[in-house]
Amino acid sequence: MTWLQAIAYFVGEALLSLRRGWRVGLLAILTIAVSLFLGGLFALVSHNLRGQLEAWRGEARIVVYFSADASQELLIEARGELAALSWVEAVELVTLADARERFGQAFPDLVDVLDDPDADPLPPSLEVRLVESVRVAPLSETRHEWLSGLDGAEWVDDDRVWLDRLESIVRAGRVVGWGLGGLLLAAAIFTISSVIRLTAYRYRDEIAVMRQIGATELLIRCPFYLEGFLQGLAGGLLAMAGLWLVYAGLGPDAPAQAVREALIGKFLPASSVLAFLALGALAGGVGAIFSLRREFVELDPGID
Amino acid sequence: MLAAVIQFLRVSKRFAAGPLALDEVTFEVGCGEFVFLTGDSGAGKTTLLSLIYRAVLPTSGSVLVNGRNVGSIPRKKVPYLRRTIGIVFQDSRLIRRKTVYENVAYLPRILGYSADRQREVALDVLERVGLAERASAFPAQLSGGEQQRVAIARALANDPAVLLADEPTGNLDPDLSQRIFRLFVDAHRRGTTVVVATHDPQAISSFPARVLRLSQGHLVEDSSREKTAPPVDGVTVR
Repeated sequence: MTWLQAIAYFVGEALLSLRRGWRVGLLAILTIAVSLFLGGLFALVSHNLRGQLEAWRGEARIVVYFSADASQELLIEARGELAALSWVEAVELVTLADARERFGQAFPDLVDVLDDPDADPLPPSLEVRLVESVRVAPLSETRHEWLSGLDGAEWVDDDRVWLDRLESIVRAGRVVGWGLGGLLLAAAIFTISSVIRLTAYRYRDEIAVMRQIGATELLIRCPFYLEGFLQGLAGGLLAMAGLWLVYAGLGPDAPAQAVREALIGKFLPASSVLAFLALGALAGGVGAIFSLRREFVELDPGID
Repeated sequence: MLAAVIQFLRVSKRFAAGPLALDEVTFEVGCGEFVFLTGDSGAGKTTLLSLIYRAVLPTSGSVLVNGRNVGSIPRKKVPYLRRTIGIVFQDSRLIRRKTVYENVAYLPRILGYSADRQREVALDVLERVGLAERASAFPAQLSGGEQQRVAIARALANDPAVLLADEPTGNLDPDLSQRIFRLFVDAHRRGTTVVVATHDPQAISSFPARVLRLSQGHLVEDSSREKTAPPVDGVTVR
């Protein structure tokens, strides 16, 4: 038998078996699809959040707030000092008037709040954009102290501090996601393993006959391995299709667009989709191998 | 003396902690011989046949097929031994989900025969057993006798040097049994060495051949002396 004939034989037998036992096979396919779908969902959200965090980090600024009575001269002088620093790319002065205007644009319904003479919610500030080399990590303590020590400065707000916190939460979520996905994948492998074992048990007599009339182990086992592989691949395809439906279903018309953009704004890259398909196929194949390792022993003491 | 195809040299077999299924059994079967293996139930007939195609290994002694010690054949090579031996079981053991044709063409298929050659071989042996017209039926659609004839066709598909049959007529009525035995005689006529395990005295008397009788694991009779048997379908069976 040539390799081409062998492959045609394996595929033919595996497809025949899948067609015959489609109900049980469907269970295995759905189990692996659910686990890969959940894993994929976590990967999708994680992928988007990571991209979003990187974008936010790129735009991150340090804002030095001054007391409301800080003079214009003081602010201009501080801006000059900051602009001269090597780690500062640009400095923008936001006066009380500028701050009010921004607030009014962002929250037109709340603009009356600013008319309260006792309230002082929008002090003048200097928005500092850092050079790229120091943009990623939060400000060092020394630099933070230096900024806090500027004349009239009241507090320093570093965007990257909350970005770091958010990133930690995303990272923890990703770990939980992978853990959950791993558990579900293990369950899927177990299911596929059981299905293949059940199939092998169901055809135990046939397998014994095949052996007795001279079929090699490769010819007997490979169709089962291929069956598991195909079940896993089908599960992966189903999971990715489901994920695409979620992504496409929550399209631009969906409510809470900002949240949608942050969570599932972009679909998984092709490499990740292929990786999930490969993972499904691998899980199916591994499940089949595990199931047959045990099932075939003692069927034929003459060859063990 | 014909060249030995099967040789048992002081072969014993014990399963687990049970009694000896075979005890120091020694005999030879020559090329082209027709042998009845007989004895009561539990005498060791099935064990003896199983040793030939290495479904089990001997506890002691040697089993040689075509001069090769079956026990020393590497595990991966066992299928190649089995491809030279046609086997027919009492319960036919057909692959239920395959048609008659697919059952018979299975071995030619895994041997890599072309589709045309598979078809040629399978239809030829099905013709010989008179079931060519049932090629597309499934085993469940056949009678017991027909199933057994398909099993014989499958065993003959690779033109084996040796044909083993383990109580092939155990579940059949006398008329069908006679018909099945004629198929073995036909295979023998074409040069195949045939060993049939049976405790059917009528078959043994109807188709004279060498008789090996087992009793409680011992070979108690070997009628291998030269004799001229009455012709069966015009053929002399030795």
